[in-house]
Amino acid sequence: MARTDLWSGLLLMLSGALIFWRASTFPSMAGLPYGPDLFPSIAAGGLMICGVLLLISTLLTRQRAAEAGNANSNRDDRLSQRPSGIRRASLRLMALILIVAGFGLALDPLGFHLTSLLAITATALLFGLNALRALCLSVPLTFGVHLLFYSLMNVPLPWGVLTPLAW
Amino acid sequence: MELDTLFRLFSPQSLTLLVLCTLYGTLVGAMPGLTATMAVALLVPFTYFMDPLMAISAIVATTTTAIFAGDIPGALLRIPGTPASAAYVEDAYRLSSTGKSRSTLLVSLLAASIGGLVSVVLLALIAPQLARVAIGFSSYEVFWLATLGLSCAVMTSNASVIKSFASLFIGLFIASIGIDVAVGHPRFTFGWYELFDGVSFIPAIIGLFALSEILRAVSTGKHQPPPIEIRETLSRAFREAFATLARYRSNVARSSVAGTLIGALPGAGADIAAWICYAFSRRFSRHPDRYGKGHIEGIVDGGSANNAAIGGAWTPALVFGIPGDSVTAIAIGILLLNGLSPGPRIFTDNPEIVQTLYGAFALTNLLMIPIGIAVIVLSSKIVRIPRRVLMPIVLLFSLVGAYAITNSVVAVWIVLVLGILGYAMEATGFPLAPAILGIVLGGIVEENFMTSMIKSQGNLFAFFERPWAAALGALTLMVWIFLLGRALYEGYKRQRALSLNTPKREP
Repeated sequence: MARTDLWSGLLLMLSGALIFWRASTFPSMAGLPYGPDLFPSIAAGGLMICGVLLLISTLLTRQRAAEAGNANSNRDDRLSQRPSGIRRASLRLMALILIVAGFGLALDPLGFHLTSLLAITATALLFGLNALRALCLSVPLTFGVHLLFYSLMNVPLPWGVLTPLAW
Repeated sequence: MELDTLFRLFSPQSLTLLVLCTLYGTLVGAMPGLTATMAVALLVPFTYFMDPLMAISAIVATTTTAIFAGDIPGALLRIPGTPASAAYVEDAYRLSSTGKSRSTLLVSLLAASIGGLVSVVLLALIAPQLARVAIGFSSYEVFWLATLGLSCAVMTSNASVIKSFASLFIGLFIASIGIDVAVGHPRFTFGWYELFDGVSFIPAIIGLFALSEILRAVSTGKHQPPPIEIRETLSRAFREAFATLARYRSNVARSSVAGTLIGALPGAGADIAAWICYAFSRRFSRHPDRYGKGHIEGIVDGGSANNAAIGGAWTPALVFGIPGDSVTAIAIGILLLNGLSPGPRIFTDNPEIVQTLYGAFALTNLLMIPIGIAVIVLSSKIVRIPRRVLMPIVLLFSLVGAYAITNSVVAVWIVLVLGILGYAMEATGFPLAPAILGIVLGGIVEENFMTSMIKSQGNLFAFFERPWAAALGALTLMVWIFLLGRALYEGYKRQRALSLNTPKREP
């Protein structure tokens, strides 16, 4: 946990500083000391303070742990996490993020039907279904979502390249 | 309750909707890895297309049953279906291992139903009284109430104070995206005009609560253990369940009331109510040593408390427009989208909303019994539905549901970004509830602060000049002092735990 806390502390500080810097460029309201920059600045300040506190407390704990000779337990942690397992988990995570990003990119040009067929088949494969079953899931699912959202709820799902076939 | 509202509640249309949502809530709650909040998040795009009365009924029915159904995978797989079942999952699982799964689940079903009914009665008694006080509130009081709500969300969270505060500030930052209320300056929109209205609320919660769960599922990828075989006959289970409830009737009463009150605290939802009432139950029990080893008493308490908390959470939501937990935060978002603003005036302006809410609550808690029994009978099949089939379905519904709200691809990007954020926060121990309250209340806090500032021409002391404002302000400051003290204590405990771990050099 100590390592992730260190990184999240740093990240909080950085994003707080960025938000603070952006907010300082906002115009202020005439006659009042508070303008549109006030709330983002409070949020940014809070983020920076939390980041610093998290960093300090993690570093202090680490130092104490090192003094106490707790290095053994640290090594145990690292061993129990198995690097190959972690790498596979983060690869699968990245793959799913890419699928969703692909869905966002392809939705307008390709149209809803093709995009969701591809995305759902890919997700099903990622979760461990075989190709045939993935198709058996994605085809009726796409059709069902089309009926539910497009036909019943009148959501204008884009047709994209299939526009000539739209119904 | 007026006859008109009653008729509308019992119309075939509304009854069908309630039954469907009860079924949906039970199924989603019963599937391990799909939480009650996720059930609501996925339902929201549909409620957007309903009239507000129906939307409220649908949300009430779904959450009520999803919280109960979360006990099912807890008992059969030792995986709590929703966080609210986590308090007593060990007891439930051990009882099931000895062949008592059906009676255990029946006990939690009936306790949940009683807890829910008690909470709606308390809600109907307390809320109008509070509203009478709240009707005189101006921007100063509302500002303090919202700030108090945010502070309570940090106070009641299970995580460390620093991380809860960080989560709150993340939520506040997200709330500040878009055109500002005072001068109309676009903030953090980077030229995307779709962001001028702010981050759309529904895609945001779908990302935080649905996509983040899918991301977690894909990154763990572990196989579920096989569920426990059911060996009890239904009639025997019934007899046993009734006997248990009769024996622990005072526990049911105590935890139903306590659960409602805990739920009414802003930020404290069903999970916290269950934890607190379970701990209470253990302290007052004659057999505290049996808790966690398969004792039914804690299940009675936790089971009634978590459902009672759902009713309780609506009290601040209805009266002040300050949500009690993430689910009511979503519900407030839906009311706002429908052009209704929750607050004391809703009791006089839209009494039908309030009455429908009470009615839907009572009806769902009754409907839940037959549907719950059916689901308990089929439970071992439901928890066996594999995640690899479920998750692609949830993913498509999340993405299309978000798209349906904005009709633009921006929704998909919001879902993705907030999904990654939610996953990262959960993985590193940051609680999500303060962030979601920050997103909902951030706008209210800022708007009322700016209005007050313009009224008082920049005089900060105006925030303490009216009696209620002064009281609420003082209460908020007290919560902050308490939080500061707790943060210091947490740091002290951490250091102490480490120095205790050092190898002792004593003989």
